[in-house]
Amino acid sequence: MNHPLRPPVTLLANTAPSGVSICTDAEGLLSALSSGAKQVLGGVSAHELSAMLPIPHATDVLHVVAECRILHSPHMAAELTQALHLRVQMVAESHPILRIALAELLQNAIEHGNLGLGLTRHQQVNTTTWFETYHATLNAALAGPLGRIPVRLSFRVTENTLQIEIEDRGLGFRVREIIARSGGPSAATGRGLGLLQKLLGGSLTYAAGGRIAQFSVLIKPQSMARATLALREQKRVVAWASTPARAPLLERALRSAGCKHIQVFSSLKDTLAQASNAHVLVLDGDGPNFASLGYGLADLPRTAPQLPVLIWAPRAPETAFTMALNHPCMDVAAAGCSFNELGLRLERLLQNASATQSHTQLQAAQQQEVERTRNFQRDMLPKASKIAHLSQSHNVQLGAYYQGCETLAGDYWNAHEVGPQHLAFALMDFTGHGVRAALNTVQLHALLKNEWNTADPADIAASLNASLHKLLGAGCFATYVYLVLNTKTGAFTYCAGGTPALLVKSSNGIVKEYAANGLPLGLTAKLTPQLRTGELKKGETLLMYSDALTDAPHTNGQRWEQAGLTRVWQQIPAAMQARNAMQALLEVFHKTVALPLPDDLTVLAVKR
Amino acid sequence: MQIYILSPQTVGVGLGDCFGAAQATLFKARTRDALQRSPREILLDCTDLTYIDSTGLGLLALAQAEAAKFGCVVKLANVVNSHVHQLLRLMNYDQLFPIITIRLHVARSGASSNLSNRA
Repeated sequence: MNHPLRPPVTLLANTAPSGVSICTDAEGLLSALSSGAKQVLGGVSAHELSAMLPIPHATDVLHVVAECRILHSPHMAAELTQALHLRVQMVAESHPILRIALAELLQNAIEHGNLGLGLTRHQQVNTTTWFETYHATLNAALAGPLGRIPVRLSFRVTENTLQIEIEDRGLGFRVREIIARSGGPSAATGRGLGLLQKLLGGSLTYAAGGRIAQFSVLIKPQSMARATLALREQKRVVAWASTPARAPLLERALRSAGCKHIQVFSSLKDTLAQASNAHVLVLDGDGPNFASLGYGLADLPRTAPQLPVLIWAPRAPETAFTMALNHPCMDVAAAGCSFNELGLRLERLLQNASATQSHTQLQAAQQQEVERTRNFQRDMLPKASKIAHLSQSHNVQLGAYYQGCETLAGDYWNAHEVGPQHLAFALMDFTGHGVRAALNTVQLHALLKNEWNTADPADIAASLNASLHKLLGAGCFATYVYLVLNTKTGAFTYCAGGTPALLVKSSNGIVKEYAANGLPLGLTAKLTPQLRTGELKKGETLLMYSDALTDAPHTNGQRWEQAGLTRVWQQIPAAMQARNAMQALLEVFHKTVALPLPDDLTVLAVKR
Repeated sequence: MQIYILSPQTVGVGLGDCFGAAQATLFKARTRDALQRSPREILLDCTDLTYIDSTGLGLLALAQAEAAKFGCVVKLANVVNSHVHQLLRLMNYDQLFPIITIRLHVARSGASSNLSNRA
């Protein structure tokens, strides 16, 4: 339901599917371009659009798949060009060429490709008001179903070019025929193609019968050019020569293999002392003292597990070194190994070590991000002071428990005062795990901030559903309970969908189940939630919880399910305070549940 | 998009910095206004022009055809942006239109014209 006086809700970027920027209008697309996202989807059905995305590649700069109604904006080509310039640093002359080429090809893809207006334009062009008529036809087509047909723009880099590909969903066209038909600067049609041909020359090609246009523009040399410098030329090599006499020989071999920063020692002690600063350690396997190295190197796998080690033994067979050193990054340059091969082996070892290091750093960074997100998620939940305040001011007992699972997940709960006699409780669980589910809880938190003042659960559920349906991707939804309790009379109203039943335990221990089935939020565009009622008498305790309590597997392979939970809840003494009763229930749960929990667990207990 | 009277026979129309489909309606209206004054020439002022696309080029051709019906010549004035200049040459618009350099700053500021045709 829309509330005219309610301030507009500002939300975080849509997070479905995770890692892709999603928007539904031209403004959103333009802001996504400036966000640095590598994949941008523009349109209502992100799921369908994402099917057009190509397989990710290291050289990707940007992929945009958007409905043509969104891409057909006067500023689109200019903004795309600017976003690309910031990402890849074009040479000065490429900037205007790219802008005009993008504008022309986008126009072709949309107007002639997806909308099929080429013939219309050709037929109208000799009439007096053809321009106006054509644009009226174009705008009508963009506003209709054809405006939803997507166009894909892909941008990838090579060392010094930006490769652009624009794909439409039209019938294609015969380029030569149209150019031949254009007939000069004052001709009515074909000017765009002629302009492109002259600007881009042979760089412009068409594939898939004219549906895919490809061209490239020059950019400044990219960092990948630096990366192609051999690692062995940049990295420090520490080598151990079996005897002092072999040191020059080893150094010469390494230089011939392309190494630039070399330190050769004939003392193993000196070698190992320098190994901590090295990027690769080379051991002389052909010398007389190699066999005695074993003890000296025994600690290496432990002290420097990621230091690549190469045994250089061009006279010995490889089999002689099979068991030479139990090190995870070891290689042998054995009999028949040329300097070229030595260089390649060193390069591969260095690349592997570099990749391992990056991977480790990435993992650590990701773990930190997960921790930060988890903490942020926890910070949104009500603090103990708020729970105590609500409890005191409404003369009810409140107990709350939240346990995040090992990965990030999508549980969220909150409580709020709605007037002097009413408390509202929200408990929701988003589908899926990971950052996406966690971010969904953040968006929900923002949405709820604007809803708390409404006392009608059905009203709120319908409003949340409408917002979430737009924000969540296909197949994403949130199970929910939204309950408003009159703390004076004990009467409560609630709406729920997809969650297990609410349990109310009377003072004599009898547990009554309140159905919480129904459609979850965000699944359908329009939801008419069923408003249900109940009563929480003095001395009774209401239990609301996420499905981890009923669905988490226990060590015996069984799940509690609804019946099991009701049974355990019944056995908890009714006289206990809400918080203690909830803790007693959780103690029983934790005794047998298999850890780690596969899902977030949230439990709320309210007692009058 | 400004229109300025340079002399009884010459009317100037400023094209702005970007000339394409978005400027079409206004440009056509300005050209119509200019032609109603029955000038002998219309100067399309490209001083600020940094971007023109195929639609913009089409509009120029359209304006020229329209003006020709009234016995009027359309000229491109002050094509200072090198990319725009290159594009006009690439598309042979330098053969279709006289490209001239002219001092228009007084007229552009709203006062009377100060012509100094150096073409």
